[in-house]
Amino acid sequence: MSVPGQEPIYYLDHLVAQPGRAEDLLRFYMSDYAPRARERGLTLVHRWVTPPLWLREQSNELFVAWSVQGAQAWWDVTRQRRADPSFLAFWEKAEPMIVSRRRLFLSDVNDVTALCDV
Amino acid sequence: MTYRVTKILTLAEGADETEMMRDLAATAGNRREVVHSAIGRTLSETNDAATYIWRLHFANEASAHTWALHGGNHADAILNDRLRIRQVDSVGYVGGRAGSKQTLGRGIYRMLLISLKTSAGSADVAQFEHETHEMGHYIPSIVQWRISRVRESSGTSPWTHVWEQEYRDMEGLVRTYMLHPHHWGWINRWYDPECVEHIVGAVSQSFCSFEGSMF
Repeated sequence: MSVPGQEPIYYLDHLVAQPGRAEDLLRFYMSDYAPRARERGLTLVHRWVTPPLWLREQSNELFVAWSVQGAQAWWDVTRQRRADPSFLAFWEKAEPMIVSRRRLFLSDVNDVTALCDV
Repeated sequence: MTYRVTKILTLAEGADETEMMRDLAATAGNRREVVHSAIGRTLSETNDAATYIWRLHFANEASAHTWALHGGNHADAILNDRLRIRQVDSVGYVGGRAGSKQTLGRGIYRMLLISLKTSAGSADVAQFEHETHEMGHYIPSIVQWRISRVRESSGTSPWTHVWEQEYRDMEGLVRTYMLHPHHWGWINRWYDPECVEHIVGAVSQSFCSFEGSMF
């Protein structure tokens, strides 16, 4: 059971890379986006890839997960991200390596009741 | 169908607030076209200038236009006086999809002016409106709510929507509304430039206390 108000909230970036570009995309994400995300209060928790090999002629899908502790921290990070144009600049520069992407916000299912009890 | 005109007024430094609110209220009170008029000083802690929300109800859009040519022109003279008013954002609209759990005698009225990007597709706009309306069902502190499309707009952005809510108290707005996962974990993707669903170009938030609901 999480501490009330400190429930882990996850950002999940789901990226479908252009064929053969997943390693380049992940490298760029980690060198350009990740340091600033850490500075703004996000904690990197997972980097997953499917299938688990680097495809040369087809698309890999990357799942990069970050966490913050609680909804108030989520807003703090969000306000800082929006005030910093370099986050958007990253996505513009990364676009040639991406087929599609989506950002999702998640929690542990056991924390749903507490998160809704505000 | 009731036509609503809402104006967010940012006063000039040194303006006489009491006199101006009295003068503005007179432009509505003296005209039969105005069904309801209420002016409330906003409670925002971040504004360094006095800001007011002026809400006007008319029997229909034609009545609003009639008022604009008569009592409204006196209001315009006040609102265009840069010694008294620094900024006006104004929207005219017919009430859109609304919900209600209870009619409050008093509480907090909050409105968000929204400017959707012109590139937003009609399906996304419809989904955004649907999910915004759904907030009232999911977030317990929202007592009454309405999402409306704007017909007439002026001010700092081309406002396309008005998202109005009523709360029992400030806690319902600043805590429950802000911290509920429907807000940060779901609806916010339309507002977040890093999300591919992003369609909101600009927003302007104002809230004030009220006595006697105008929903």
